[in-house]
Formats: sequence, C-alpha cells, structure tokens
Amino acid sequence: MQFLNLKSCSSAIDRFLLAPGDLRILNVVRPMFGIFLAINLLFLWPDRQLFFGAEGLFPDEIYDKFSSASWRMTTFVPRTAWGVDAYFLSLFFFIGSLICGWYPRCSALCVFMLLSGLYNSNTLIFDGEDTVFRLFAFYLIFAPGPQQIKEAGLPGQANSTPYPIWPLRLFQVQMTALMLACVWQKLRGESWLDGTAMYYVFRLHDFQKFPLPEFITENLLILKVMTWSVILFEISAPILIWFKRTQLPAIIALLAFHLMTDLTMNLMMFHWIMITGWMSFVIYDDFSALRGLFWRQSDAERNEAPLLSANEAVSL
Amino acid sequence: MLKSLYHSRPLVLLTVLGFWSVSLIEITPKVSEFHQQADDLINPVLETTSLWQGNWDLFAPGIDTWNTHLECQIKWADGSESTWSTLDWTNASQWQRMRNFRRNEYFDNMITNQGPSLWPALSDHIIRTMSVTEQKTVRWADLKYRAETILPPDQHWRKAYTTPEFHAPLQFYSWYPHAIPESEIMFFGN
Repeated sequence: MQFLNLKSCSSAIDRFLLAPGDLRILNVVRPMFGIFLAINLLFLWPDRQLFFGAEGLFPDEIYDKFSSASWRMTTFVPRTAWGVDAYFLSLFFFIGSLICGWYPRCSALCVFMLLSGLYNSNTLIFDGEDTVFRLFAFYLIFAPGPQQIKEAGLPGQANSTPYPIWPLRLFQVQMTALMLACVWQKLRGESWLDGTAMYYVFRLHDFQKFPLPEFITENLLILKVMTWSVILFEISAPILIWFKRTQLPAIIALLAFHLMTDLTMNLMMFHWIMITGWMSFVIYDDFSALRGLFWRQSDAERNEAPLLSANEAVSL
Repeated sequence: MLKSLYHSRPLVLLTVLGFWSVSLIEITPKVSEFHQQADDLINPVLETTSLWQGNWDLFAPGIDTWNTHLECQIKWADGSESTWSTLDWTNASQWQRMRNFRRNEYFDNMITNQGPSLWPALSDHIIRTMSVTEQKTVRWADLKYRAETILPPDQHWRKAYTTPEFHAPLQFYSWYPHAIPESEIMFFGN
C-alpha cells in the first residue's frame, strides 16, 4: 500500500514537472519582465553615481559594510564614473536583448549576473520587488526562447516534441509561495489581526499615491473589513489559481488587486512584476484571444495549430 | 543536447525539488530550533549564489507606524544658514514620489543601527552639493530628523493624506571641517 502511495506520489510529481507543456506564455512573461525591469532601473539611472560610485554616498571606507559577500559590481568593473556607467549600460543592453528574444537564455543569464551584482553592491536601497526581479531573471535562464518553443511544437500536435512544463512551474510555484509566505507573516502581526493595518497604511506619507475617498479612509469599520479582506484574499487567491474552474476568476481578481493597490500605494514596480508573475498562469490561447480583441493578429498567429488540452498543460 | 537536459528526470527532480525545499525553509517563519538551524545552514549558500529571497515580510508582521523627515542645517562662513531636507511626501507630485523612492529606502536607514556609518558620507554629499549651489564656504552642519508616531485609532484618530505632525527636530550628527579649532567647535556646539 505504501509502495502504491509512493508510486502515485512520484507519478504526480512527474506529471507536475515533466509533462509536456505549452510554454508559449513565457514569450509574454519574458518581455513584460524586461520592460518593467528597464523602467525600474531607469529611475535609478540618475542616482547611479550616488549609490554605486566611489564619490557618492558609499565611499570605499563603508562600501564593504553595505555590500554583499557574493559577486558585485566591482567583480566586473572598477567603481569609477565610467565603470558605473558601463555596468548600467551593459545591463540595459542585455535587458533589451531579453525583450527582443535575442539569445534569450544567455541574455537572462547576463541579466541575472549583472542585476544580482548591482543588488549585492548596495544592500540598503533594494527591497522585495528587487528580489522578485532577481529570481525571475534566474528562472528565465531556463525558459526556452520563442524559436525553440515554436520548433518543439505543442502538446497534442503531431510530430511534436514539446518541452516539459517545469520552466513555467518555477514562476507559478514562486508566486504561490511568495503570497502565502506574505500572508503567514501578516497573520503574526497584531495590526493585521485587529484590523487596523490599513488605517496605518493610508497614513504613511511616503507610500501614498492617488488618494481614496474619505468615506473609506476615515471609517474604521471599512478599514477593518479591508484589512481582513486582504488576508482572506492572499490566502485564497494563490490556492484557487491552481484549479481549472477557479483559475480565470482568480487571475482576474489578482490583476484587479495589484492594479488597485498600485493606484493607491507608491511601491514602484512591485505590483507590475507581480502581475508579470501571475501571467505564468494564463493560458496562451486565452491571452491570444484577448489580445486579438485589441490588435489584429498576423496570419502566422492565426494559423497556429490548436492545442488538444491547453488547460491541462497549466492547471492541476 | 541542451533540450535533452530538460527531459532528464533525475536532474530536474534533484534541482527543482531541491531548490524548492531550500526556499521553503528560507521563506517560512522559523517555527522551531531545528528550522532555524537548517535556515542558518542554507543561508550562506543562498547568499553566495544570490538566490536568497528572505521571508517576504512585506508590511508584516508589524506595519510601520511612523513618518520621518531628515534635515541638514548648514551654517556658512558668512554667518548665514541654509536648510536641506528630504522630500515633502504629502505635497510631492507622482513623478517626485517615483523619483525619490530609492532615496527614501536609503534615508530609512539613517536612524537605525547602520546609520552612524552613513552619516559622514551623507553630510559630505549634502555640503558638497550645497556649497556649489550657494557658492559659500561651510563652517558647520547638523543632521536632524523629525518623526511622527501614528497612534492606534482608538487613542488618536489621524486624518489620512494630511501633512504629518512632526515633533521638534532632533539633532543626531554634526559635521565640521577639520580646520576649525577645538574652541570654535565648543562654541558652535553650545
């Protein structure tokens, strides 16, 4: 009996990771990641010498204290003005090649190395969103490029040898684990449990963005309902997104949640990289149909062979 | 050749499941001594490979309950004074908010244990910039901060989106050029 259980468990893991998968959505995730990372770094560009140059806020005497022991900017270039410029420009170059799908895996490797080196060079100015960017750059190293995915074919197609699903699973599991870890931390916090967390959020001056109406921000009952709704949502959405029936509503709810939060809170590109991560759950044919409502599809795209069971490739 | 690695069952199971197991140890709150020991063991590996992700304590478990504002008061050789300060977030435009996001991450560290190492370089930078703008010679500079503690709503209801009610500025660092004699430092200090 135990043997049977182990066998079924092993078989489930094989299906989860090694089943042939439709990886075309990675061709959407990759440029989205590149564009949002480029925007994120463009805001850092004017302060590059300040935060990374030897003449800025981190002179050589304290550079070691606030940089990581792993590889960093100085592993590749000196801390001179041109060295910092060259480092940023190289990073932008590889982000550009990633967006264009030009040697995507090599580009992702270079982005991961340079981005990690940047974060490791100044541990004080980066936060959660940068961790997501760094991890996604790492996962993209394993994502086959658009041409490879096209050549391999799709599950269910004749004479196709599609890639296994696990490069997509890296994103999906990361997003689920991230959100559940967030909510676990929240459940340990007094203000989240007593419902006052959102009261404080709307009063932190550096996180404010577009203001919500007064009847929301000045009503404790509504603020408490909002606080507890966030917890309930963060528990349920990353679970419901794995089931075929609830996947689409969960994706729409997550999209709305991140867009609304981005409108009301100044968190730079955090919600945009989160939306990019949740995109890994979207079935490419659905995305393609949605895109077709706004943009005219090319003949090649229209003639793409249909999948036998695209849903099964992504959902549990 | 490369594609066959994608289908290699032992390789995929070992690396992917191994990575997820290690990440699970890292991101979950430490529930036991054994969990903490395992985390201590894997942390150096994750840091060296830049694959660490912390425990995702975003706005949790506790949420910040204070607003802060940094100032630098500069006394010039001609007796005049200038004040440099961080962004007035309440009245800032969306562009300024985006533009100052990283700087804010840096300024948040000023009043922490890491702050003292950062103060001299920040003062140097402010004085260097202001000296060029004002075309004056600096004699003295004080770094100060103002803070507002947001009390629980049942103790004091604070209206949202209003300018924080900061307390009086608290000086935490003084900068002076080495050329100033000790007696003068005492004079200014008093």
